[in-house]
Amino acid sequence: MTVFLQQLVNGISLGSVYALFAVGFTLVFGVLEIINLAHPAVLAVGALVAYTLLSTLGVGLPLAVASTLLATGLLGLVLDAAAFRPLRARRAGPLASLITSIGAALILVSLAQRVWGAEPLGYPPGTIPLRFFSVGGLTISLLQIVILGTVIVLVVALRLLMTRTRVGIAIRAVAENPATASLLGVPFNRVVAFTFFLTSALGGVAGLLVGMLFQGSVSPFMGDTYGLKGLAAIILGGMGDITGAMLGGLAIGVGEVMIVQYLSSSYRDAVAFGLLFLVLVIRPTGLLGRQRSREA
Amino acid sequence: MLKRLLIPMLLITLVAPAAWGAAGATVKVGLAVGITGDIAVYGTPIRNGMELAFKRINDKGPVHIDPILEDTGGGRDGAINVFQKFIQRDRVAAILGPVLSSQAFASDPLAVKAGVPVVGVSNTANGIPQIGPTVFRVSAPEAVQIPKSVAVAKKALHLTRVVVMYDNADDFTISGYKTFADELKKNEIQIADTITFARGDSDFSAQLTRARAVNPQAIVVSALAREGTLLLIQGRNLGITVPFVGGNGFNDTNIIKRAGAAAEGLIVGTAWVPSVPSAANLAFYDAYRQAYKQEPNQFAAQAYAGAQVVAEAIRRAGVTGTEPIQVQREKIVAALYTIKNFDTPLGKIGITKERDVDQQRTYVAVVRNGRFVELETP
Repeated sequence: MTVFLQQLVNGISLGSVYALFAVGFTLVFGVLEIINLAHPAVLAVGALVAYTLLSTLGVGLPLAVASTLLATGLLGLVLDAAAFRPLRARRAGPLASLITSIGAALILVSLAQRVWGAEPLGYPPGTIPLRFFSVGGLTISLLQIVILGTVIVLVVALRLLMTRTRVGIAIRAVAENPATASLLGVPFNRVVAFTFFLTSALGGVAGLLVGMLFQGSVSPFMGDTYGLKGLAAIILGGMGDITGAMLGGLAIGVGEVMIVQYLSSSYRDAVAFGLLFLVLVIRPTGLLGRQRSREA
Repeated sequence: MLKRLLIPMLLITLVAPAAWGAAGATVKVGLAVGITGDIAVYGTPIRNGMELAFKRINDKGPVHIDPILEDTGGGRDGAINVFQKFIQRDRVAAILGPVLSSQAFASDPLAVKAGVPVVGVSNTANGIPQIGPTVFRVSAPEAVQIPKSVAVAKKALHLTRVVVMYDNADDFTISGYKTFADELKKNEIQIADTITFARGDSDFSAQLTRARAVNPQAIVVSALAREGTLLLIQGRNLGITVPFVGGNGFNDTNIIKRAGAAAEGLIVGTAWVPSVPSAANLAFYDAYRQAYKQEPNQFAAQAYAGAQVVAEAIRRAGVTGTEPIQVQREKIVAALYTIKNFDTPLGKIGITKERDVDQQRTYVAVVRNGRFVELETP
């Protein structure tokens, strides 16, 4: 039983990172109905920027988180302006945007490789002190607490932003119906740009958290795994649904860990895609997805 | 005016004897080493070890060797290109290298076809000398080192119960795992659990938690350097304090650099430790530190030994560099077989009938205070 709970703790800390990444994925989809395949590259850039901040410049963790948020947020604005906005202006379909997002990902990864090299990097030891807390036979590390705490704070902040602020309401309005929102005076392009800022900032911080959770794994190519897992998470939770993406991410994280414990690690990646398959067969709209009514 | 003449004159005095030597009596040896990119962590000490050895040998005589260094990078194609250049353009009498076993499998057949002797200094996979009748090595294969690691670790840690973890997506780590499993059985050490992961994985928390759940005395791992480093770090992050026992993939000082304190206590089999009791090692150790201002490692020592072995074969064959190239190559191949009980930084080594290394003593090292030191048994 202890082992089960211990693995649950591991699964939740892994899943929370998947979730944070998937939230950014799903938000862009919800607003623009495009799958932004540059999102995994943003995750890698976030982790690498944080590496420079933590290792080379030696700044503290809170400042590193804040700077990474800002840096990848700005990168999101650049991405939108360079890769997506020109297509929107020409009324290109979602498929064209998908292709430019692949192109943007390739460019970002190659640039990152130029700047940081291809070798895996690690944050300086002691970025988060090695400390353990025992709760009824369970060992929880400070690292796991910090990661879970950061994800919870960010997700709650996102929730408040979406429900309580004008910009959040504008994003939801655009997601509901872009044409009507524009007619009602919502500045469409600015709202979309802000969405990219927001999602990229979250993706960048997810990269930082991955870098801390798996020390020594920071490289320009680290986003690949998360791209697939994140995609599975948002389909699992229902495309465009933030709570669904959270739950999807957590389910995949916990599922992977449990498979390693009780079956074999060879089946690890089968979880995400097995779950995905099941959901698509049984409930094609995803766990929390609703049938979209505005398709007519 | 004088100043203007000085530099050309200096150049002439420097170059002339070298040109003389080349025209007269030097034997060309190709050094195929990857010194750029990822592979540089192995390649740099290997190049240093070879160059140091040839410098000392040339200073002492009687053989005079002209080492030609070419960068193979980390890939197979790079190794093939360098071998082709050495064999056809430079027309070398022997080749040292390449760094990786996977590169050796690709490039060594070219040398076999041309009859050029190759001495590997860092290839530890099974089947390297079997590539062909001109392929030798001085690097002890993993199959020789693991039994020793297991026996010594058992003694030092009083092992009766371990967990085995291995990468099931890579040929070398799988073969390392099989050797480990056999040896553990022979030593009557119980394997409480066998857990796999795959090359490229980043998250090992689930595997490590599962390993910890059965309370082993040590965790035995067959992994490559990247996954090995991540395992060490995450193990310590999860509060695992039992020692790790690693295969040859862990035999890399870079792991200590990346894993930092998490590498403390790691046990690996190795062909060399700083304290190897041989005259050749003392001379090597001091000369290396003086020349490069840093500690040598296993790779530098093996490279030095490989260069010594080639030079010794050239001496015994009586090759001076004036013979037709094919004669030089044949004589060196024949002479390599005669090397027995030869003093190197690795201790006494010899070449077997199967062209593999016969190293009288290999070592088991443990990481203490950020350095590999020999593991003392009680």
